[in-house]
Amino acid sequence: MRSILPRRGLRAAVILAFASGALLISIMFAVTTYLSTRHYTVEQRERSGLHQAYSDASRIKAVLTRHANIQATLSSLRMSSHATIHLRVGRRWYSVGRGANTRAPIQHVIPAVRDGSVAFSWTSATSVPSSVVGVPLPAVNAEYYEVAPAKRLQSTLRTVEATLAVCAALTTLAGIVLGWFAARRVLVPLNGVADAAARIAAGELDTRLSPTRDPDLTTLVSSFNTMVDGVSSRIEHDARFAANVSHELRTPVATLTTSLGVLQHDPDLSARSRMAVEIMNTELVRFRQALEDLIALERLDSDIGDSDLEVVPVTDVVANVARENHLDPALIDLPEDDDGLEVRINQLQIRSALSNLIRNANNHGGGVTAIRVVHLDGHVEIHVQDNGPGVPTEDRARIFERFTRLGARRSGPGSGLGLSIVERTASLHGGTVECRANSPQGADFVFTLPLAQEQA
Amino acid sequence: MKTRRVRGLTGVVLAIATTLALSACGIPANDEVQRIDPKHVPAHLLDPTLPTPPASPTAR
Repeated sequence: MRSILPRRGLRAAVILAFASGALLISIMFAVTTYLSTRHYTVEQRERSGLHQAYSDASRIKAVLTRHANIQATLSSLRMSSHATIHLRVGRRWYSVGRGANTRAPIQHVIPAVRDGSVAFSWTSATSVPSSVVGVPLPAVNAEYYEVAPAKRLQSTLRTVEATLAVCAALTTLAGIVLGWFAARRVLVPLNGVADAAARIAAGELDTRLSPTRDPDLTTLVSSFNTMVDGVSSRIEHDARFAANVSHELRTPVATLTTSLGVLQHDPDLSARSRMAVEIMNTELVRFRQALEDLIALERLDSDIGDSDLEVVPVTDVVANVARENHLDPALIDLPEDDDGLEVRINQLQIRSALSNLIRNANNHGGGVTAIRVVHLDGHVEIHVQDNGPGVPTEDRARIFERFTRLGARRSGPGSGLGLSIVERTASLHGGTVECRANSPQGADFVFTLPLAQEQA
Repeated sequence: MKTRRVRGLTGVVLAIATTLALSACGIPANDEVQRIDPKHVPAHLLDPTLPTPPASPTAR
């Protein structure tokens, strides 16, 4: 059966454990304290009640022996003890006190007293629990009963109950507070692991957990670091392998391209063979592009050194890229006031990334419709817009992943690496790239770079 | 499974503790009669042959 309660987190579990422990301990402590206190005070009250009854019974016996006024003696006893007194002499009953009109509180004691025993009992037949003492007086053929309310004892026990309940509640509260601190202390190393994992996921493969002297965490730290070492070395190995393969394939691909070029110009080639050669050439161009993109990505993955960076006006870079890609100058929209619009970049990489965006628009968006440079607070946006079918919202993040080719574009030109190169280049320059919807239709690729003055 | 068993055990312990605590509250006024050992009772009260000694005041 599945629990309807939500699953508890580690923090909640630790706090709950501390609170439960504190509650159990405080309840046990409170019950033990209360029982021993109650036992002691009740016993004291019983003892004093018996002594009072013995003393009063002695006086009654003396009065009855002297045949003095019984009623007056009973009244004086009642005044000194505040109890209800019942006295049987022969067949006659005498009663004084608040409960003198009924002998119900002493009924259960009478048989024991008749047997000649002194009897004691606690009764609930009165409004306040009362002690009942019965003393036989065989010398004067009488029985003496004293019913004394234990109001003060009841009040004392209630005070003890309330005090212990408050103490138990405070102890439980202290357990919750202690559990909260303990949970925080326990979660600190886990937060460190989570931070390190997030940095590694963001590409900082040299991130490791700091060594610790805590014996409980040593295994976690060493296992985590060993795992990251393994993953890092595997990634480096894979990257190196891809780079080596790409470099090794470059020469045979160049030879194939040259040979195909020769074949294409052969006048003796039949129409069928010429078509086959054309198809081979198209695929070879695509293959060569994929190789070039893989090599470019490998270079980007090895990061850019500060020495390759230079501060240049962003408008110059965009203008040069547009010229290199034979774009109509009318499509370029640069801000009128471009003062201070300088970016700190590796020019080759940025120009290659922007060219990739233009090539993407040409191949999949029906051609570039505009390139706009927008100056925003602290950064600059370069928009490459097209009028094509656009990119569905759910695919706008995925298209920057390596070898991602959407729908009908799968069979089209391109290696599936161009946008990955753009994304990696933007990231290395502290910028971003994203795909938005163009109005009224098409895609708007926004390449963002921080301004040089903001990075200083 | 184990967690559920521990939870059940905690519940039982809490229930027993609460019942004990509630039943032990206040004065045990249950009308139970205790016969006092005659050795602890002043002898002159039960023995008709002994005279009554002079009264001494007690306080409750």
